[in-house]
Amino acid sequence: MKKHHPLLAAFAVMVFAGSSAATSLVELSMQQLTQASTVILRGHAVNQVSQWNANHTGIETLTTIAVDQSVKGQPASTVIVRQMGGTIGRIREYVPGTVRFLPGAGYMLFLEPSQTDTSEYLVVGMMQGAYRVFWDPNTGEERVITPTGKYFHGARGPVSNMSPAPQTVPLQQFQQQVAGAMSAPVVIPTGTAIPLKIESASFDGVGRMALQARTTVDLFPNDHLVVPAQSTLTGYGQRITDHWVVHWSTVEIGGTPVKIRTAPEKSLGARLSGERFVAVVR
Amino acid sequence: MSKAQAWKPAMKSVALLAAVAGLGWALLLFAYNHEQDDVNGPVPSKWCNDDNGTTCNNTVSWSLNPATGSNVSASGGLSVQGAIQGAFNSWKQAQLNGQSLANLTIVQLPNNSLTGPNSGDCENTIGFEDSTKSDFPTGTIAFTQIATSAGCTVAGPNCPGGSPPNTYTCPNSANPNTVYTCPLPSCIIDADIEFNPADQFTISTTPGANAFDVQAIATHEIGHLLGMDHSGLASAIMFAYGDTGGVPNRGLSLDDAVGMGALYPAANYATLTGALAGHVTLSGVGIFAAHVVVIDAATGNAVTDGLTDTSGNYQIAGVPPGSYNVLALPLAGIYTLSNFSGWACGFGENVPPCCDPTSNPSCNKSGALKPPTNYSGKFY
Repeated sequence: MKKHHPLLAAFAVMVFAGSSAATSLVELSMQQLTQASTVILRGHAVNQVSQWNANHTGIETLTTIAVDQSVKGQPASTVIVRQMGGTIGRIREYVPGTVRFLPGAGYMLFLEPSQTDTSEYLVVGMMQGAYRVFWDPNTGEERVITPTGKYFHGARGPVSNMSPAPQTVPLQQFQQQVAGAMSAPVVIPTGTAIPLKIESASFDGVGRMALQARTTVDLFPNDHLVVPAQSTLTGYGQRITDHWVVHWSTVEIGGTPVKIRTAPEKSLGARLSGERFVAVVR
Repeated sequence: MSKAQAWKPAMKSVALLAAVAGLGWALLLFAYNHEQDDVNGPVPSKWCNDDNGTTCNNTVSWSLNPATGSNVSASGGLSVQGAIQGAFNSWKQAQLNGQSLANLTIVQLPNNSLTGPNSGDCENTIGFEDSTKSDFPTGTIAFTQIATSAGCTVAGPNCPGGSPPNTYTCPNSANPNTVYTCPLPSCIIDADIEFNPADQFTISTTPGANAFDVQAIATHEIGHLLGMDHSGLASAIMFAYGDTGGVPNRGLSLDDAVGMGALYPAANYATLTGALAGHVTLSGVGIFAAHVVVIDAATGNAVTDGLTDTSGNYQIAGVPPGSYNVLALPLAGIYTLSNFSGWACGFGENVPPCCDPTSNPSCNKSGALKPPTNYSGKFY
């Protein structure tokens, strides 16, 4: 039996010790990536345009992706991915963490609607949501590249504590991971507090209002769940003597409705539209 | 056996002397990285703020909009201003063995009320309230928008007379017609930091389970503001990912300090650090793109790292005096470089993603990138 170096042996047995405390992005799990995405697709970059925004305060880059395969959602044959930054003349604007799309290259993309223009998309988690597809001449198979590499994803401390996760994965295996994450049940833990703002309240019978709200913060209750800001909730308000009692029944995460039960909230306001609540999941 | 398993780690102890200098820079580093301007490069971007059009005084100023929403909480008499100042101080005080590595002057200007990034005003503002409704993709805690002005070496329509130096203006400032000069290939001319208004932040010595520490986030983003890109080392403040709760990591790692020193070197930087050079082989043949990790022999911590060139050689600069083990790993995903915008492709211009296959036929020779189909347009 071949003798392995002790350090490699340590690599093999040590368990990933959690994320570091550095900053900028939340490290999203595969489940969180799929949940936050309204569209998951395989496509290739066919065009890119950088332009000043309307206020001329920043450069934005729009990349056209030709869709080869839709995995989640119903994208058109081409989609536009919006990112901050770009180059115009000799001025370059750069936002670390953005994806550098290569002309013609294939990607598995996890996308969510842009708030600036809902017909365009953002890459979920910035660089985390873009897996480049390449053909590996050594194995003759297509593989995807782990967006940020994995060798040093570990806690501070000795190298032996760090994860040796592979930097590339066979595309087929990756797609199975995505499918598995998509089919996993989404459960919002009891006690999760969801800040929200009611967007609309419409008559739904005597003493009853149908409500629609949006979450106001990004929630990461655990490593398997994300509730992005601007997620839509539906529920109802019941008029009881001089106040409303509000219940929420559904939150839509990445286009997928998730049933919830929340503790009843009391409102003394005459109208519910525009009110802010914190719904607590039971 | 997979290819990865077939690779043997190359371990050796190396004693470094304090004055080992002049061995050249690492070809590529997965540890600290400098932001690169690829308009005429890639070249590192840095602050200059020249006084006379020919030299740099390495000065950067900043101001804060202290207004916050309900998503930012403070306790113990702490303030946003104090947290941001503490973050800047971390970079100011980057030291190795008690000596400053970097020559950089940081000046705080009076608070302002600017909201939203504006790369045309040449004011470097840190804010929590974004009136421009920037698109924060899910998972984004904060971002820094850095604008650079690149020089060019060949005269042309966009580069009269050739440069550097090159000139630029700040069209959204109070003096929009003032012309500034950048004597470098690329100067940072504006950088703004925005915290995500949809995330929870805290200014506390004991952050809660669901809130990000303002000072830790700010230290990372200020690294971007000063010219640092993400680091591949988890121990670095410039590592891309953050977390909530626990004891916040607000300090710089050695990787951060050395990276800043390399960008704005103090007079003694060259003598405070050395370089490691070597050769990685497999079956007697030099291995291209092996990932070489420099590990502190005493602690086992990764200090810095780099890649081998096409002949299997590596040179890693900015290494403090000490004893190290060197670990060589297969870098199956050299393509991960594509995720670092503006990456300096010093190791091989014909290897994707360092080349554009539409203009360089040899770019595809590895088969790593399929031929473009209906590509059109300009990619940056």
